[in-house]
Amino acid sequence: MSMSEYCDMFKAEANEHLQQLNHTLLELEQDNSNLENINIMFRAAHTLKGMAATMGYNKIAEVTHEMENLMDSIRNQEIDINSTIINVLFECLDQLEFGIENIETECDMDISAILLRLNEVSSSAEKHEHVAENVTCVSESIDLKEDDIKKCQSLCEDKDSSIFNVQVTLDETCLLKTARTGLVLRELDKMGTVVKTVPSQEDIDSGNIDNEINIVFVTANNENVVIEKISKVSEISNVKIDPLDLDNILAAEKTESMPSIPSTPTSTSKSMKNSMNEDNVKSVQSVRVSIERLDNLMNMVGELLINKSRLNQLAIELETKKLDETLASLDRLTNDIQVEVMDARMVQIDQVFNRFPRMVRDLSIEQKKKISFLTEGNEIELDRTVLDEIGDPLVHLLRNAVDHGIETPEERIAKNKTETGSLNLKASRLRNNVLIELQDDGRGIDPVKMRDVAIKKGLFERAQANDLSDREAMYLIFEPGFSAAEEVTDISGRGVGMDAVKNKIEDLGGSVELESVVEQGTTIRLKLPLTVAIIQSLLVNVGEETYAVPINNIVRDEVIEQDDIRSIKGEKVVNLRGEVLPLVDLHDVLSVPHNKENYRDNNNLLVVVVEKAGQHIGLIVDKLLGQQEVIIKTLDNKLLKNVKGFSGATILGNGNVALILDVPTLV
Amino acid sequence: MKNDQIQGTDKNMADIMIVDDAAFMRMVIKDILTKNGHNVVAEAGDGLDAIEKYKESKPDLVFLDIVMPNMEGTDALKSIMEIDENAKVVMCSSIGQQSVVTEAINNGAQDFIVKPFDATKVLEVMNNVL
Repeated sequence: MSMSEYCDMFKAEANEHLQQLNHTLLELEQDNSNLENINIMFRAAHTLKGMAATMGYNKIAEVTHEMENLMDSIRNQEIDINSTIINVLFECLDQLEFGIENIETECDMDISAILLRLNEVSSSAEKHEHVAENVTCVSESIDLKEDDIKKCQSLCEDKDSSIFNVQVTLDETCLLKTARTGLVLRELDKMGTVVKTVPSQEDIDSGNIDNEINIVFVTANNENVVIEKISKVSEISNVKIDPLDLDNILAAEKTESMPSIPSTPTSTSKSMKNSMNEDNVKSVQSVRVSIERLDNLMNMVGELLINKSRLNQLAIELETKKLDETLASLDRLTNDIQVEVMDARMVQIDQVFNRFPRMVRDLSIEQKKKISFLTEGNEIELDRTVLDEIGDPLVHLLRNAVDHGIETPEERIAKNKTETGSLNLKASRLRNNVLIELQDDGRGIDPVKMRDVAIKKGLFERAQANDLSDREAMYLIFEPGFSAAEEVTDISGRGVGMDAVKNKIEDLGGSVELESVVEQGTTIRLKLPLTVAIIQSLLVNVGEETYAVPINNIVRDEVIEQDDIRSIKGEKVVNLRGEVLPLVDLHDVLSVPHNKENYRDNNNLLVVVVEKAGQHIGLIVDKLLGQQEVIIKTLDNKLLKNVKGFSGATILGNGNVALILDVPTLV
Repeated sequence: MKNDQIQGTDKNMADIMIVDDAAFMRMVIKDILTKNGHNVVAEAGDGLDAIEKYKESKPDLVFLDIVMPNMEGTDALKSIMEIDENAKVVMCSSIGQQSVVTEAINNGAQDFIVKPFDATKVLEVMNNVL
């Protein structure tokens, strides 16, 4: 695995942990009594720390390390959680996000401010442990007390044992010295009895330990066996063993009774058990694949489907039954492959939704508004390419809702509304589409105001503006350069407008709908295709040419009479059961000559009714060929890129190329 | 049996299980191991998963992370030792986990490594344990 692959994997997984931290912290802010949330955060910070340290991202490791310490103190109830701590933790997450986003320059990241903040909140309840004994212990030759000597004597009498002074030197780089020493002592315990250690067992347990440990050890084994066994422990740089002469020690010993020390390491760890959380999803084994690879796979599946259609067609032409069975199973297989590949590209919408609660929280605090924000349908899946594109539009819509939609608490109370505004983001599946609905109970969009602004901006004359229906007036919000905001704030009303949102969604083959009642709120509905790679389309003939119209855009088809066509302000319309339907003749738009043969009789015209920005438009065509799933080949070469009206092309079963109409830019 | 064989003949090839909640960390260890001719037979993302996979794959050695969701490594260690008292488990720890690692050692862990992992240390620990 190359370094850059490691880096990609690190970033992807680190972001997941960050998201979890954000999510859990938000929950914690709502309800700080749930200690399991602290545990989840502790674990996520800890895991992140390990990952960052492995990659050498020391700044991230340092921040997460301090976060982990803080979480640990909260968990052990040394510090009470409060809003300051939560804010500092949010700041930490921002810092980490920044670091992960700019991972190449991670080492230059300035974390002194955030560490200081963390330090401030943790020191509000300084821990009392470890303060009492902070004396460094220098290991010297062993000084045996009377009890120790008695113990040695009795041990030597029992068996054919001798006493040794074992000196173990740990590697300079050894990090967990207590644990390492524990391993050494465990090895020794297997071979004999540890009588005494310098530093003492208590010092070892509390981490008060240098690189050198002296051990008085009674064993029946010979020196070489002891050295060999201890050398097998990792991170040991040197082992020295010398026999101890008890008589010599006894002679020099001034007796002074001291309590003996325990000969086995005692467990000092506190229980780290966590209550099991059923909500935690069991990790699924997975492989990360670049979206590029999936795109290639998708393309190949597309080619496969085209060839399959060709085969089907050939079989019909050859009038052979022999191929039927094989073709049927090929049909099934290609369909299965297609479904699998499509599924592999699907990602839960939660990946986009999960950062919104945090954003809405920050915005509402900033603007002193009270907002209860709910998301729903986070488990709905969308094609990765669609998902990647909807983040920005959604951010814009949410900001608009918080900024212009929902009122301040005072204003709401004055209007007899609940103090807390509600903002709901809901995703749902509707056949081959995903519907995203953003609903607020704020001011709503006032058509009267919209008309005024339109006039002020010079988009319309007064009379023209008054001609607009309320619905049309509200939809003005999607016009380029139109902003109904009376004052421009930092958050929205500047830069990208609603027209950018609409363009983006329509580029993806989706549509935007708006519904608003003054003082009751606004609902914006985004209809998105599940995927951009394959679409259901209606194949139509215009003249001799075949075109594909995406089913998403189609409302219904109609047969109208030529005589019923009226002209209003130079535009063709037809009155259909009371609805005035504007008409667009595709022959004119696409410059295709009329083919008289296709008229069943000269008076009847075929019309495909499509929807554009909530409005119905009739497209005049010559013939409906039927519904078909087509694979979009994008027109991304230089020549065709900027041609409006087409979203791509597809290859039909007979090998012919059909252009896919892009309704929003076509009419 | 399997362990004896490896000890007796050649330490080159060992069946390893890696337990860590971060796929990234699993990848790091796996890379070190496979580059040195070892065989990663199982990977698990939490303690519960680890116990199941241990039963299935009977690895020669387990690299076991400590802080994980669902079941901590220290508890998983106890269960694994109950299943197989000769299990060889190496704890994957970080700075600041002294006491937990000590507890794990008392509960039968063979050794430990400290994040960030250093390839030579990982291999040294492996050779010492097997």
